[in-house]
Amino acid sequence: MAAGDLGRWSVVAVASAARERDREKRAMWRLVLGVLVASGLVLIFGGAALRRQRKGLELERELAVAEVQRERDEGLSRAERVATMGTFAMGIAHEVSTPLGVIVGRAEQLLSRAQGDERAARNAQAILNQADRIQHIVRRFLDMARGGPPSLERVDPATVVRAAAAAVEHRFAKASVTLDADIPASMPLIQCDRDLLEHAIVNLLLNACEACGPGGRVEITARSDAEQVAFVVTDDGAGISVEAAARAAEPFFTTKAEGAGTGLGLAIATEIVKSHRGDLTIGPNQGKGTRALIELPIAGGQASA
Amino acid sequence: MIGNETPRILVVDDKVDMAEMVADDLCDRGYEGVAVSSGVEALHLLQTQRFDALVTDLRMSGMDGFALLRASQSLDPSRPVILMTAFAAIDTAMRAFEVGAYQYLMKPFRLDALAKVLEKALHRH
Repeated sequence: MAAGDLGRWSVVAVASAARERDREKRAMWRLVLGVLVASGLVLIFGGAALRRQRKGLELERELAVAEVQRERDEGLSRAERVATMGTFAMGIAHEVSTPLGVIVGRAEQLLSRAQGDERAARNAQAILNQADRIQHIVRRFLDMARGGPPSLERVDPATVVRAAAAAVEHRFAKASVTLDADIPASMPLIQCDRDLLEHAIVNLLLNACEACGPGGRVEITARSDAEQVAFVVTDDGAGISVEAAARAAEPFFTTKAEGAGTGLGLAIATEIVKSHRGDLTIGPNQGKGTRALIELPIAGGQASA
Repeated sequence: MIGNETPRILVVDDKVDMAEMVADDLCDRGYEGVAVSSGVEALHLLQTQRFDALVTDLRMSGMDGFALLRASQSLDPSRPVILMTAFAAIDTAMRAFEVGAYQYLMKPFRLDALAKVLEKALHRH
């Protein structure tokens, strides 16, 4: 090989080595750049994910705080409601006891003097029976106001509806309002205090009757599923606004004319239903009038009535 | 009955219909029932006349049954006092036992129940 060739090869080798170094340098820079870009992306997306997670946690915490607050408010409002009802129950019990005592006493005297007059004796006995009933209801209210549980027994819902309908029959006749009852032949039993539940349904029926004009119609139906029994009272009266429906269970709230209603009927019915672990909701009826719905859990472990 | 005299029972309730109803019934049962409608009036009668038993409401305006019970006890500790109470006043009635009330009856009560309590109370004394 000539010296000139050697020189040329040396130049080529040096130039090639320089290119190789450049390539390696560029590769290193690319690697560094790649790592930097990857790290940057991790930082950007990771930070965003972290922020999202933090925001989610904050939202969850706010929701939990709001839930606790809502439960506390509900508890307070229920405690207030029970206290109000307790005060009323005590007041009513006290005020009613003496007149009731006079009625019972005078009816007993009539009964003892009606020997031989069967009709008079029967009438006096009817007064005594009804007075006993009032006394029982007032005592049950007092027990409830003192925080005692209702006196529960297994009851066929149809018997409660029939008794409630019979109790208000004369009021409907006087108001010229029709009362229809549609109760299935066989329904699951419910655990309830028969007198109190009947009283709650009577209150709903009377409200419905008063909401109708002469010629109006009220219907009470009952239905059931695997978990609960529902009583529905509907009327074709003037109806109720959403705002009034939301306040319907408040003691003293009434949409009736002054002096026409105490505003206690629905409040009492609501407390009775709640004490049975049920719900009472009032709202506009589809089409016309008002709809009241009582939902109660069915008694466990038994067949249909 | 105490001796040959008709037992005299003072009945006190600020609801006069109640007092009269109870007194009427006691008269039907052979007692002499006297009805008054205030504690003060009852105290005056207890101070001036013979009564073998006192039947009084607990919650009354003015002098209440509790004060009347104490007054009766101080005038004649052996005279039985029977309290009539509303549903809401049972706690007070229980306290009244400590002061010497013979029995309490929760309104509305059956008149037979009062008659039985009175009979027992008067035979005891």
